[in-house]
Amino acid sequence: MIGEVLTDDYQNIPRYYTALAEWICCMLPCFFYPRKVGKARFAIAALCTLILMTVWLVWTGDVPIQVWLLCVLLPVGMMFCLLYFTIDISEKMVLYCCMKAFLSAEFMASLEWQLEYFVHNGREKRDFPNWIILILVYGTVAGIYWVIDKRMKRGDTELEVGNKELFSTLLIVACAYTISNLSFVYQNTPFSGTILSDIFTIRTLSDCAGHAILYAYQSLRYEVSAEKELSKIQSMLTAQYDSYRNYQEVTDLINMKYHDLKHQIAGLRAEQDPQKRSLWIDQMEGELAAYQPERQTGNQVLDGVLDGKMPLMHNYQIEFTCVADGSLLKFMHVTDICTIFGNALDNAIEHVLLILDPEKRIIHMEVSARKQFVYAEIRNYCNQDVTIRNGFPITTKKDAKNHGFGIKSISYTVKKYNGTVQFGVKDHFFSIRILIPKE
Amino acid sequence: MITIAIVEDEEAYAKQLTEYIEKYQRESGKSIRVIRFSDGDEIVEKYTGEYDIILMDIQMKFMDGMSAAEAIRKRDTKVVIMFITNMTNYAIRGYEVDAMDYVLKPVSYFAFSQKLDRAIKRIPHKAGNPVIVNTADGIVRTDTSSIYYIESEGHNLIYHTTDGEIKERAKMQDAEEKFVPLGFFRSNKGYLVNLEYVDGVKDGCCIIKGEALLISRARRNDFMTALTQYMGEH
Repeated sequence: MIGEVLTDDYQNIPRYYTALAEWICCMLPCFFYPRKVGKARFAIAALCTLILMTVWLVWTGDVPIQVWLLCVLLPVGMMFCLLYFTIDISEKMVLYCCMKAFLSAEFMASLEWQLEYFVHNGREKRDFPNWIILILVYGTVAGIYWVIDKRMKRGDTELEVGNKELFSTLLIVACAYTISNLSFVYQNTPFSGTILSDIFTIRTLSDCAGHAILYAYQSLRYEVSAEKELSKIQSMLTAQYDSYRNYQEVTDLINMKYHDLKHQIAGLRAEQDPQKRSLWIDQMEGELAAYQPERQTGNQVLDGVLDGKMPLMHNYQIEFTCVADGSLLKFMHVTDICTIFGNALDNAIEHVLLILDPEKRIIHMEVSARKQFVYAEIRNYCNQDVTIRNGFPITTKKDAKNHGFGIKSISYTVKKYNGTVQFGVKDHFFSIRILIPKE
Repeated sequence: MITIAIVEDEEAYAKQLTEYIEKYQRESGKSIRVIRFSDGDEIVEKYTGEYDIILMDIQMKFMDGMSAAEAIRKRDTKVVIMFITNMTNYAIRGYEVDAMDYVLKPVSYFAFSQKLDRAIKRIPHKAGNPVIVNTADGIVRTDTSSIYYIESEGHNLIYHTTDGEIKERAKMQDAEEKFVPLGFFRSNKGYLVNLEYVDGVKDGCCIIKGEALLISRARRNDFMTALTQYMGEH
């Protein structure tokens, strides 16, 4: 809040109230997102932030208007540091959380103060009920924020925050903050109030409105990114299905060729010159061997997927081994098998292609029964660091927005069967592990 | 000491594998004993069960690798079998004899060492980590692989083991700290389950030796992830 400009006898919000509100609002994302430090370190950091914020805000309580912006922005900086060093989210997301927390705190403190003002009938009084109001209002408002945020998040969809989004958020927060505090600086504008209670009401309402806009905007963004993701997953599914159809066609062609050649061999047997004949036969059989269906996992679809990937593996000298009992996958839909194994293999192939030494291009696949589960694992040698955030590997590709969907769609598909996907990196091997309860 | 059986009829390949194992031994510092058989029927006839890992050629004169593996599996379900082959289509049916993996001929040292490394990690431990339980009647010695799950009851912990229940006055939190790194998971406030014995998951419960133990809702995802990881590493 801006310093004591008012001549009225009723005080403005005490600075430590503001500090506490800002701190509470900053704690919300700390519990909403995964943390990257231990509990003890986090608790110490949070406590230090609270003390620093309070000291700073109380200390700068009487500064002239000219420098108030600094006084207001420094606690935001402290929030940024706390979130940046303890929470496992991107910088832009941290900025976004800070701006949101700032506005949330403004509203929280403002509402609380207004209620205190109302209870005391406009007379300044510091007594026990103040604390009850403080706890009740801060608690309720924080609870509501928490519920709204929790509900808005859908499944695994992460909020995408780019420069554009940050700018829009900044605009919303800045507008709300300006209007809410206008009356404290200039009383002679169309949007200012002159009576203290009006000023307080204007502040609370405009902070509330700002918050509503922010939430509407956030909800919309969640929806858009969920939709985008879903459509990408859908297109992926179709692509996988199409490629499966291709594999089938190729297999049919091979089978046809196989039979054709057989007839030809029969014809050749009628060849008179025995030497010529045997030479031809040998040659044709050699050709046939190349067409012989190679994979036998006990599941046609899985065979198809593997056959489709084989040319690539051969071309790039990838050593691919596979111990897979495909018959375990009977209960799965064709497209799902394609999605899971197609994507996982594509991912592994893409990874090992980057390895310069062909000896190290190793991919291993396993599908086996483990107790009452079907266990599948696709692992590949990997000589670079892979970070796993929120349970998902972070894509190493530059075009991050459009990648990582293969991984997402594996997870999406496995979940349909109440299964779990786990990504791990150990001893230079990256592995995708899938566990699905048997039907 | 790890015992590896090489079942390979071609002298040159057997020699190469032995050399690779020697090299691996030098690099990893593990001590390995190699026993050589020159055909499938040889190992099957004299099967002793002393091997940790069997490296088996698929194509052999008298008894092929698949048949030999089938015969071995009837007597030994634990031994780690790894095939050596130049035919991928055959080896892919390795799951029928629960083969872990296969090495493609011509064998490259790098791929072989990586696979051997993994095979060694897969060797089943004969006993888990030792555990000492202080009961009211004195000390009971057991090990982690004999414990199905640990249950908290008031101020006591009940160890459900292969030899029945053991009661100890201890805190769940301390037990959690001790057992989680050993492959246990706190599935809810009252249970610490050994992931080794989780047979299945049904209706929000994990099944251990026919008993359904509730997994708390908040831990369900973490439980499944931990179980998946456990399966991958064991």
